[in-house]
Parts: sequence; structure tokens; C-alpha cells
Amino acid sequence: MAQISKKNVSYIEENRLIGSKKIKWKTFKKNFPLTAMALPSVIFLFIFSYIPLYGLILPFKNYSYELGFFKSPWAGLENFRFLFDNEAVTIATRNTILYNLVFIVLGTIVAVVIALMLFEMSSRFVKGYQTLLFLPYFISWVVAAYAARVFLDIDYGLLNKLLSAFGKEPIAWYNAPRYWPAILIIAEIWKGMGYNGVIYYAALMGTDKSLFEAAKIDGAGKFKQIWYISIPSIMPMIIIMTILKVGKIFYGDFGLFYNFTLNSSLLYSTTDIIDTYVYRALITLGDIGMSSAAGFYQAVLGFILVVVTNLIVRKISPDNALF
Amino acid sequence: MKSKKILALLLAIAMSLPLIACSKDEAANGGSSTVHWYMQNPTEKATSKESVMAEANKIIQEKLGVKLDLHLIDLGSYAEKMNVLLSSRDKMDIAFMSQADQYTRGAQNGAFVEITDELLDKHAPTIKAMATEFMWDMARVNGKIWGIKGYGVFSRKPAIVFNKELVEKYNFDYKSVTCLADLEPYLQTIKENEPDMYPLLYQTPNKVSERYSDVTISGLVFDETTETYVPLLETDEYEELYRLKHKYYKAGYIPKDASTRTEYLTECKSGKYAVMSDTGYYSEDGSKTTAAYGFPCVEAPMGSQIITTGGASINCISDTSEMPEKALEVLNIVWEDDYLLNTLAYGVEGIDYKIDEERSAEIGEKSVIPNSGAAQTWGIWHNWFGPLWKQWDSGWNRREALDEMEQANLVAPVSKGLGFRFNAEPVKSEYAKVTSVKGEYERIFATGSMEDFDSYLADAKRKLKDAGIDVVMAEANKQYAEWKVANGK
Repeated sequence: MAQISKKNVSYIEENRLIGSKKIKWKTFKKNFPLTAMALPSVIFLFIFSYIPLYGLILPFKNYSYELGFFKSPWAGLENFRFLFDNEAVTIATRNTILYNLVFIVLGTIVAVVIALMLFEMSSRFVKGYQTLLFLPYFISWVVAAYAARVFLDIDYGLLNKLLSAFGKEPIAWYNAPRYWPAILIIAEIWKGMGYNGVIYYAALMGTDKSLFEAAKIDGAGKFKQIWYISIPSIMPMIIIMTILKVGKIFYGDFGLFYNFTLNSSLLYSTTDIIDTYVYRALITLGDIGMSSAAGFYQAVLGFILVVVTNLIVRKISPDNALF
Repeated sequence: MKSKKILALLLAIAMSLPLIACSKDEAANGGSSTVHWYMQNPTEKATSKESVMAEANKIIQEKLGVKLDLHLIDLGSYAEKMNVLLSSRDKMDIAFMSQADQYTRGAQNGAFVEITDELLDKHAPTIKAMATEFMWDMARVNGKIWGIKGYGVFSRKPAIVFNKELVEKYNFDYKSVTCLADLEPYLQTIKENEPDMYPLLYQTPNKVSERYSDVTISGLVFDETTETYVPLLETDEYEELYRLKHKYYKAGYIPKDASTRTEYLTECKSGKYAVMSDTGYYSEDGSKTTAAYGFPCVEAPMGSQIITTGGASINCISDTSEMPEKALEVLNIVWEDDYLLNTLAYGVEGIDYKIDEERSAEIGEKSVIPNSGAAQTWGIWHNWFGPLWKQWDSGWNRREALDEMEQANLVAPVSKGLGFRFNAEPVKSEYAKVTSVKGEYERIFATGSMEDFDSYLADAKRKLKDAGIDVVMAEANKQYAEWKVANGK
């Protein structure tokens, strides 16, 4: 599937020739400006992602302001204990994983469909649609929560007005946990579809136009083209995006689950996630060791999942694996 | 090629510039002649910081030779931001502690300078002379004092507040109300005749029980008769109260979505409630709530509360301070100098408040009218800085009210456990879990907005057990017994 152009071939050949150190040095010198362009990002990454790594000892410490970072006594796994063996955290973990799974699957489908539609559209309108779809991405959940109240408010909400117009009982939305999986999924997809759609759209733009021309000549219809050309050509992108999202599966969007639900505690059975649970549990305690333990737990599980997913991808189609 | 190299270099320099700029800025602020005081800001905006600081520094600089810089953080996020400041050991001189847990934790972890008798004698004689004995008990952690307790109202006198217009319209004898249960006929009248009004705001205080006092430990309450901490939900009094709330909720007296309406002040100001909660203290003529909510109100007192160790409101000298003695002297001078205290709280004359000539003449001392509502430019509560009683008479507190509050402090019943502070450290996992469960049920009980009371109560009790409330309770009672022995009570 991957098209190897002439230029790439010559590059590969050149690489194969590189054996001696001298040639390696020469290539490095030749490409120095390009390498240098990456330097700011490398420095940035180093400062903000690698240097703070020493913080990973915090979850295992009984942090004391006086003794500071390194001298505080070790706490073993004590700081992790509140993340296990209680009902609330089991519910929160279940919610976090289930929501994220749905977000990944449905979100990807919607985004790909949007990308395909944008791709089929005449370029005159594309910009307008793109902007419109992208807009929700910039709206903060706090603001979105107020917008949602226009629909969900118990007295003045559009939905309840509609229900009473049909002679039905109005629903106290913020007291009824059973509706919230649907509401949250709609909200998340509404917010993310433009952003993800544009990523896939950009990937589609990179496909070789001649493939479509050839398909047309061979008599393939629009749907056949999509099925046999468009989707396969953005498949690597879909897989990469999915693997990256799987790594975040233990993190919930705090804004969505805390602000958008107005932190209504009657909804917790379907809206409580690890992040909101940890926030609630530690808000008065303010224990640094325990809060970093929560972050550590989420990160490690996410990391394991990424590696496993990648392994699976490599088994099925080695070309698309991340590493 | 060369120009590209230079470009890359420039880029690298440009990237590090903000870092340099940052450190420079810090050096300018952190000069040793400035005392940095972190304080919470209760008003929507505090725009005249510059003029207030200039006015206050006239006095402070002359007397102490240092400058004061107030760092204001809004009330809602204060505790959270203070937590970050403490953990990262930021340079502070005076740190106002708004939360009891945070104060205890900070004291135990060495975030503050211990306030010894020696220090007080040398640098804060006024504070030592003015503070009452139990104020030091309130600030004690592990037997030592780690900060200056704000001198305010320790025995809160709660009140049920009524919209005056409606009380008069339906001719309701609000003065006979002594607890929430007395309200029922009135709430029903409102429900039937005023379709645009909500009868009851859920935060409305109930008649204070003489038996139960301290509620600062998640899930527990202090029983004065047995001197033990017991699970709050297991007590008959609280169950009864919550059952009543649920009854009111089912009857439609409390808004259906009450559990999401958390900003009580916003709700009160909306003017949509017939019965509301107080602003913190009962005033006989209803002037406090009338001023705060913006429409005529009347109040019915709900007894007075037992004085407990209570929340924090403690000014601590940070361990990171380079001149802790000077910081203490600043605190002392604020306690000492009426004008300075009122400047920090009310602001500057002509900008943030006006003098009320008529009233001043009437009471024979200064009375002021602070800008309020949208025109407000400054306003921080006096008792966060120093003694509340030095406040100039204003709509915030009339002189009569101030005198009454000061009196109440002296005569109110005092809890047997006054001065005891719980240390959650040994059971922090359980405590975190219990806090999380409490966070879930607390508002639901207060609003009564569950589907079925009995099953919800049973469920909440079960969840608390599951989270380990028994472990927390045992630890609290163990610490209490130890504290009692250590303090010879």
C-alpha cells in the first residue's frame, strides 16, 4: 500500500551505503540545519518532561514540607491504598474505562465520517464547515455546561418544555443518573468531532489522487472508492490516534465530568471518574504523596495498555505499529 | 548556512528569555524589605490594591521600616492555591490559613514558624495582651502554637432569614420560629400562593443542638455528653433533621435542582426565596441580611453555637520567611493600629468608602459607608487581619452588633474538646475515602433531594463503613483521649 517514490528509494540506498563513521558524520553535517530545527522542541521536552521525572519518587514518600523532597520518609505503597478496595473507586474506575472506550470507538467513527464528507465536498465550502465543526473544541466545559442548561434546566430547559408540550412529566435531569451516559457521550463527541475530523481530513488530503482517478475509470462508485481507497489510506492514522488515546484511558476529562455535570452528586453512579474521585477524596487532606500516587497509577496503567495495544497491532499489521 | 545557524541560536535565546525574565521579576519582588502576606479575597473585585497598599505602607514603613505587600487570591480557590504554595515551599512571610486541615497539616510538616511566648513578648506584645486564652488553644497543634488566630466571632449565632415583604403579606409570626419544623405552615402558604417563589433555601440553619458540636472531621461529630466522636449519620438528631429536609423537598418547598445550586449567596441575592439562611450572624433588625441580599429581610435567632476549635482563620508566619520577626511585628501593628486595620479591610477614604457624618455624630465614633455591589473596589473581612471589634461601624456591622458579638464570645458555652485538632495522617487512606463518600452524600442530605430517604441513608451508612469510618473514628477518639491527658483536662 505504501507508495515508495523514486526519491525515497534513492534515500534508502544512500542509507544502506552508510557504514563508515565518516559517512555518518557527513550526513549529520549535511542535515544539521534540519536537526537544529528540532532542538527547541527537544529542549522543551527535556525541561518539562524529563527533568521533572524525579518527581516519580513522590508517590512512595510521606511528603513533609520541612524535610523536603529527598529527605521525606519512604511510605511504601501506603499512598496507593485509597485507590483500591472500596466501592466508590471501583465505580469510578469502571466509569472511566467504559466512557473512554466509547469515546474512542464512537469518536473515531464520527470523526472519520466527517473527514470523508469534508473530502467529498467542493473546496469552496470546506473552510466554512471545517470552522463550524471545529468551534466547539475551543469552548471550555464550564461554558458548555451553561449552554447545556438551556436544554436540561428543570424549569426553563428546552427539553422539559418539549416534554410538557407532549403532556409528559418533566425530568430532573441533574438528579437522574441513568440519562447521563448518553448526555456525556453526545457532549464529548460534539466537542471533539471537529478537531479529530480535521486530522483525518488532512490525512485524506495526502492520498494519491491518481488512485481515485484509476478507480473512477475502473467504474468504482463513491462508496467503493471510500471503502477501498480512502479508509485504507487513513488507516495508519486511525491506528496511531487510537493507540495514543488508549494510553489516556485511565484519565478522564475533568472539565466534562465535573463541570458539565454541575458536580451533581446524585449522578455519581454514572459520572464519577478516577479524577473526580481523587479530587473529592483529597480536597481537604491535600496530601501530595497520595495525589501523585493517583497520577502514577493512571500513567502506569495507561503505559501498559499502550504497549499491549501496540503489540497487538504489530501482530496484525506490523507496518502500522508505533514502535 | 551560517545565517541558519544564527537563526537557530536566536531561537534558542528567544526561548530561554521568558525564563530569564521570570527570575529577574522575582528578584525585584522578593527584596528583603517587603513582607509578603497571602490573604483571601471575599469580594468580586479588589481593584484599588495599589492605593490601599500605599496608604497602609505609610504607617507600616514609618513604624517598622518594611513594606507590606498583600497577595490576594479569591476565596473560592484560596485553599487549593495555598496548598500548592505550601507544598512547593514558595517564599511567603505571612500565610493566612483558611482551612483547619491545611493548618494542622502545615503545622505538623514544619511549614510555619512556632509562635513562642518569647517571640510574642518581644515582637507582638499587643496581640499577647488582647487575645483570649482559648484563642491560643484553637491555634495549638501538638501542644505548640503555630499562628495567630483571627479574632472574630467564635460563637456563631445563626438565624433563619425571611423575605420581609412576604412575611408581612401573609402576616406570619416569624419571631415564634425556633427551628425548621416550625416553618411548615408558612412554607405551605408560600407554595400555594406564590408560584414564582421558592419557599425554602436548603442551607437554612436548624435549631442548634446543645449536644453535638465539632463537625470538622469528615463523617464524624463530637458528642459533648460522652466526649467522643460518633458517626454523624448514626445520631438521631441529624437523622431527624435530614428526614425533615426530605419531607420539605418532597412537598416541593425546596427546589428540585437544589443540589446543583451551591452558591448560597447568589441564591439569596436572587430574591426568589421566601426563607433563607443567614450571613453568619443574627441581627435583630435584619440589617445584616438586608444589606447583604439587597432587599428587606427579617431574622429569627436559632440559639447560639458551642465554641469549638473550629475552622482556621489563622495567620501563620511561613517557614520560608527570611524575616519572621518582622512579619510578626507587622501582624502586631495591624492589631494595634485601628486606622491600619480598617484601611486594610475597608480600603482608602474617598476611593473605597465614605464617612457617614450623621451616624458618626450619633454614635460618637467613626462610621463609614463602604462602596457596595458593582461599585465595590475593596473589602476584606477585618477578623482575617486582626480583631473584629476594632472595626469602624458600617453596614457590615453596626457598633451594637459588634458589641453583642464580643459579649457572646465571652458568655457562650465552650466545648469540652476546645483546642483538640485531629491529625488524619495515621489513617489518611481511610480518611480520604470517607471524605469522598461524605462529598457524595452531604449535599443530598442537606437538600433532601434523594428518591427515597431510608434506602439512601442505609446506603450512605454502608458506604461509610466500607470506606473505613470506624477506623477514622477509633483514631479520632484515641487522639482525643491522648490530648485530654496531655492537656490535663
